[in-house]
Amino acid sequence: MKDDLEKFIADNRESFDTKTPPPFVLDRILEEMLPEKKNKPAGILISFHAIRWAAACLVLLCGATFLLSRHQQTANPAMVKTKIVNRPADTATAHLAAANKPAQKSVDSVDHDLSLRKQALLAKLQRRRPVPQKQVMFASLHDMESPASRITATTAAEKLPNRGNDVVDALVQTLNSDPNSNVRLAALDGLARFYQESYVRLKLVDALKKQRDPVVQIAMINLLVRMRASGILEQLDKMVNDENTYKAVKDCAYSGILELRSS
Amino acid sequence: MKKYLIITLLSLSMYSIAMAQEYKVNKSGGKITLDLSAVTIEGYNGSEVIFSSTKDESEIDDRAKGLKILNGSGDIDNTRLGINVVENGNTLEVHQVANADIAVKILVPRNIIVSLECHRMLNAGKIEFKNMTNEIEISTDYNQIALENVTGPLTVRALYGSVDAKFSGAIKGPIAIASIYSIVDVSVPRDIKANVKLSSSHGEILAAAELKIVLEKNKAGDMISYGNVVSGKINGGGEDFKLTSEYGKIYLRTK
Repeated sequence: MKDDLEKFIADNRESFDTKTPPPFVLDRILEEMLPEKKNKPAGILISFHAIRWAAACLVLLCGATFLLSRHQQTANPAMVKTKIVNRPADTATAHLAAANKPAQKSVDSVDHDLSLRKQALLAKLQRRRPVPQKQVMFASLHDMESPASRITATTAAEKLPNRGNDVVDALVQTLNSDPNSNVRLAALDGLARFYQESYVRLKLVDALKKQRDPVVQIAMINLLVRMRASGILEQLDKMVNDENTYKAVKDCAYSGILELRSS
Repeated sequence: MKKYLIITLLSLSMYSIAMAQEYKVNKSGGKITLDLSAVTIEGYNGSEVIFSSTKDESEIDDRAKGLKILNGSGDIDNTRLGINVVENGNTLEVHQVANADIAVKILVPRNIIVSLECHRMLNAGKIEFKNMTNEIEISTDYNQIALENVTGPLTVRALYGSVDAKFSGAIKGPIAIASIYSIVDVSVPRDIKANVKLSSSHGEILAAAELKIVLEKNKAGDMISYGNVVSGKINGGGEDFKLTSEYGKIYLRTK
């Protein structure tokens, strides 16, 4: 069936092509093609006016870059000059040091020489010794943007030696004033390590009065009760009688009072 | 003065995109602080913070057309989403203007710290974080918190609402979730490296058996162990991983 149809079409192909379009169609097509040809220019035509403008721009641009590069060149020698100025100063100190041996020096110049040497030594020391771990820790305790880095700092603080209570003071400050509760809890954990020191005990009793967040209040009461810090009894009584205290905190304070009074 | 200029610029630019119900701010670092009672926040690879509405067509109030939400706090709804967005130095501040009618989704580029603080009692809704490698800071009273596909660093402080957190990949910083009444339900990958510390005075602590926690026994004089505290290391230890809830249960499971 299909083959028959194909065969028929193949045989009679010419007889299908009987229809020709009317002549005006061809005319219209030709007409449409003509203007297109006209529109396509042989080359890029730019008016003299535009070229003048472009040239002006180019000149301006060249001038600007030239001026700029000259400006930079003048800036560079200045820098080089200052470097050169620096070096004679160094050699001058060397001269001073060398000339120091034959004595016969005024007190002023000796003083000057000494201060110069001191400065050089300090600079050398600072270069050689990295910023101490403690400084890094104290600095990141005040990184107000990232609470996580403050937590990391408090955990690092636990491992540092507590000289002159500087670590304890830093942790107490964080416990009292850090805006993030989790950071305050971390500081509390850090302070718990120093529980045997009476200074820490005093600071913690004092800090309980300042704490407003129930989450941290409960953790503090629990710790202080375990530390047998009966100094908080007055504060616990106050909390129990304050109607603004959260119920969970009140419960915790009650049991704290019972435990501290019974012992 | 500068703030007013920014506000006017923001509100002017807002007009051009008011119809799209989308609000964009160029930002690739620093911090975003949010004061919203319900929100969905997602991390993405881009350099713009994109605020959009999650409301359906049917939920849009026809009567509100051409009107603006007002608020006694003085914040202006400059996004048409019921929120006020202001740049303050390196921080992008987002305040709630609408009372209850809030349904906002925020796309946040990586490397921006996201901080959410909401202590409203009324209309406290769900707070969702998804696909975030950013540092997250949350402090709420009543909101339900759901975190999915996050890596930390993370600090959560909650009171009553449940906290669900699903971690994926390696933990990138300290994790701290603290609450009084909340259920804390956390799932972590099996190969997590962490120093865990789970504590609850009145609740129960439950952990998956696959997580081989090498427990550290509490020493007699150890003051850190108030209440019921479980501390130990998973896979040799790593980042600090602290979950606390005074009355709620704590669940630690694997994915």
